[in-house]
Amino acid sequence: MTRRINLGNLALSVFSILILLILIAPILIIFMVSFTPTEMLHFPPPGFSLRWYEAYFSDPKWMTATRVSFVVAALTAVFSLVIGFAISVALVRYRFFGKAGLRMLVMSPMILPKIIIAVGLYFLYVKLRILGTTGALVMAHSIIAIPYVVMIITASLYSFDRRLEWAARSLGASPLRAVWLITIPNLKPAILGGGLFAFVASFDDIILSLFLTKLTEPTLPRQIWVNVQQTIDPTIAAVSTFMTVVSVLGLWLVALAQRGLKKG
Amino acid sequence: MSTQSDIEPLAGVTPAGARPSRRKGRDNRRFPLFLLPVLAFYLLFFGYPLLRIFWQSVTDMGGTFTLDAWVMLLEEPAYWKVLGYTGLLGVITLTITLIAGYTVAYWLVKLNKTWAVILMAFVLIPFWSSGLVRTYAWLVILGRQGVLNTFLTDFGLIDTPIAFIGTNTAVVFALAYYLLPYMILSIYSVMNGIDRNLLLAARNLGASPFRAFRHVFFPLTRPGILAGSYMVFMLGIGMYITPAMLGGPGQTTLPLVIAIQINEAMDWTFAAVLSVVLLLVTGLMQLGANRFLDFERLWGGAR
Repeated sequence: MTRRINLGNLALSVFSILILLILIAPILIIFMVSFTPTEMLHFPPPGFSLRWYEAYFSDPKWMTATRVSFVVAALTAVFSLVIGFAISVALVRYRFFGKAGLRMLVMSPMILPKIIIAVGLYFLYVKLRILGTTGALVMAHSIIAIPYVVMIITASLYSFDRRLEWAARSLGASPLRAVWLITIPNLKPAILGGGLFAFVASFDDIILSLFLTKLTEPTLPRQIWVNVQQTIDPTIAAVSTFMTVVSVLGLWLVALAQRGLKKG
Repeated sequence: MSTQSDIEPLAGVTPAGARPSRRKGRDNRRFPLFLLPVLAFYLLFFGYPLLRIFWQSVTDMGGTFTLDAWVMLLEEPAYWKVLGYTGLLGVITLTITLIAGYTVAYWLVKLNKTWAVILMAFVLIPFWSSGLVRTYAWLVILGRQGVLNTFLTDFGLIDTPIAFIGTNTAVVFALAYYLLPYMILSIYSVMNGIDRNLLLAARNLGASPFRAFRHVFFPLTRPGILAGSYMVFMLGIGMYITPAMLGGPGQTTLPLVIAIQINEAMDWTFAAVLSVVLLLVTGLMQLGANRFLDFERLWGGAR
């Protein structure tokens, strides 16, 4: 009896460790092959070289894509924070007809297949003749980034002690001044977290970029996509590693900010 | 949300200009006017595009009403095959991630805290990385001159490279790989909140470990299973890059056909018809899921 249970536990551990290794392995492999000195992707790489990173950072095509990605992601973060903050305040502090509907509307892009949003916006942008513009892509990315911002900021607003704000107002501050001087500084970790999350959501997006960017000004994921279709080029591994570092670092900071929030 | 505490205003502290008689509790009952620009934004960049898809599905490029594209969908068995394949892919991926995800989550929950936190990085790092990068990684591994084929030839296990790319196995595997963290995190967050004393109580009352698991632990994890399954299936059927990058002509899914209609065939109407189909499937599922899922908790706990 005991023996059987131990065997079961052993099988459980082995299986789980195997799955965890499979989860991390592809990322480690990309990381390692990005340092290969050879023309082909070799694993394990026969040596160590930064030549593919040099190739990445000296290629104007990759640099354009990198710049586009950072600009779009930064603008998306700012825009999603503004819209997301307004929605969060409305959801937490107001009671009005259609509130549940608003919540569902705002949250639905998280579950809705992104390709549907991409197709719909493609139709709209062609009609408005703004297809391929930075602003249009920022709006599209904001639609998918705002749910995360709202989730993080509402959670923090619910736990915020409103008496602090009321104290400020009783001391003569205007409503806006009270929000600016008391509420916003208190929500700093949530605002930072939401902004970073929006940044990464935009930075990692591929579907909306595929439909809504110009080939001359692609985002980083779209440029990867284009290159993957053509060659197996280790530069892509270098770019991928760079992208992974940016996203993981960004979301790790979000997690840290959230933890700091919980501790108070 | 149950975290909403009932904080009464401090005695004597009343906001300047507030009318206490109209304020019950802490909520403002007027419509927040600052939402108007927000609603305008959603109307233009979200509401209109979705409605436009419906409208486009029954009008040709000239703008005249037509049901031709719908008839084409109904009459052409090739599209039914695509729909069936997409659904099947979703179900198979769901099954794999559910089995693997439940096992891993269970194992992680039973580990001591330090190890669980360390090993969680193995789940979170892929979860936080771009889906494109993670799909590309499988291309590097499974490609004709990829890591796996080189490894197998170097060790003399095979003479000619195996064609993994363009097979169902590659697509299912990469899709399950992409979606597994969602499943693990959904189930783990629910398991983590279960009071262990319940299991001890069941054991004390004479239940075997298996019985305690089946009748006490398992039913309590159901919300996590439902949430994870829902998310994995929805994301699975809507996934574009995995079948596009790792599949061949035999792995054509609904999102792939939609993209082809727009980029190559330039047939907006048919693209719209297929989008409406995908939208209806996911919309109906979301309506059904709203009854048993708390989306805020789901995602708030996961990230």
